[in-house]
Amino acid sequence: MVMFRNCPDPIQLSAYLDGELSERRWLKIGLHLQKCSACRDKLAELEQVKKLVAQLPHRPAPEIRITAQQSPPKAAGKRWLWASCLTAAAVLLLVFFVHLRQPQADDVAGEYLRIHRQYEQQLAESIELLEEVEAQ
Amino acid sequence: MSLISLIASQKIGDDEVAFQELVATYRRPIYNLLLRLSGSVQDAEDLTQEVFLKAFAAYGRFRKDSSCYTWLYRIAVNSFRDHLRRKGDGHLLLYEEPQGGDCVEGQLEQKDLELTVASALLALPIPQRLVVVLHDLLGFSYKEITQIAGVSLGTVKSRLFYGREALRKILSSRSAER
Repeated sequence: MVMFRNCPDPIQLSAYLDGELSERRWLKIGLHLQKCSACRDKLAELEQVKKLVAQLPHRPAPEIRITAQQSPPKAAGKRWLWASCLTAAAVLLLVFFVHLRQPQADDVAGEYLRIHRQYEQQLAESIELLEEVEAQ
Repeated sequence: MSLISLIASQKIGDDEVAFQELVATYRRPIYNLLLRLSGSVQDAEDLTQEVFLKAFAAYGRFRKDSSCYTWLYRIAVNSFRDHLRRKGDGHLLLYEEPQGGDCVEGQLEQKDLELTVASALLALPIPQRLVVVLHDLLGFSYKEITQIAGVSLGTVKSRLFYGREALRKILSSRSAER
């Protein structure tokens, strides 16, 4: 048996057998195999195992049966999607109406100003009335 | 109710023909993958049902994917992994010979060889067994196996080599015992 120091990794030999190497590497290993009987033997062993597995018969498959109760299908998925969308829309509407009913900052300031002016007016009227009383 | 009549009754529509084709094309290789992985006819049959049930449920999402078949094999591999988890680590896999008709003498030798190889496969660690079955029995390329098993190209190469090497040793020792 002739062996060389630069024998390829046996993983590469296995990939060589399957034609799963780059062209360059494939050629390099092919040249090596011409000289190296040890690698040829290894390759033959791997090839024999590969053939044995490939020769296992393909058994006929059973009939595929899925009952209506088992099928989780599309309809269920869509119902879930619709329910989620409706819930999200309801929450959004609720938030929108609550937001509308909340007084805004500008509205609050305006209300305070109106009350303040009303109070000033009432105060002025009271002073006027007081002056008239004093004059009499 | 068969899957096909179920589809017809529910009027799933355009997907009907495509899914029927999917079942017709892949039922047998999926079953054989699961048979050689599990070593049990009953488990392989149940798991094949489970795979197509899952495929049926998710079909809408994948029907336009050109690599639909790798997706189907991924479902099969994941179903097998789940099955092992359900059974527990201590579950011992023993090859069950599928029920066939009477054997004439010439076929006995072939059956014996099949039994030996199939049992030897079950002695491999599961990651190696998966790669060997996908490549050597079902003829997938290394690249396809990376997609189905979810591992790198280097891992596929090494698992295939070590799997074959382990098989060779098991088969040699069993033939020496005779």
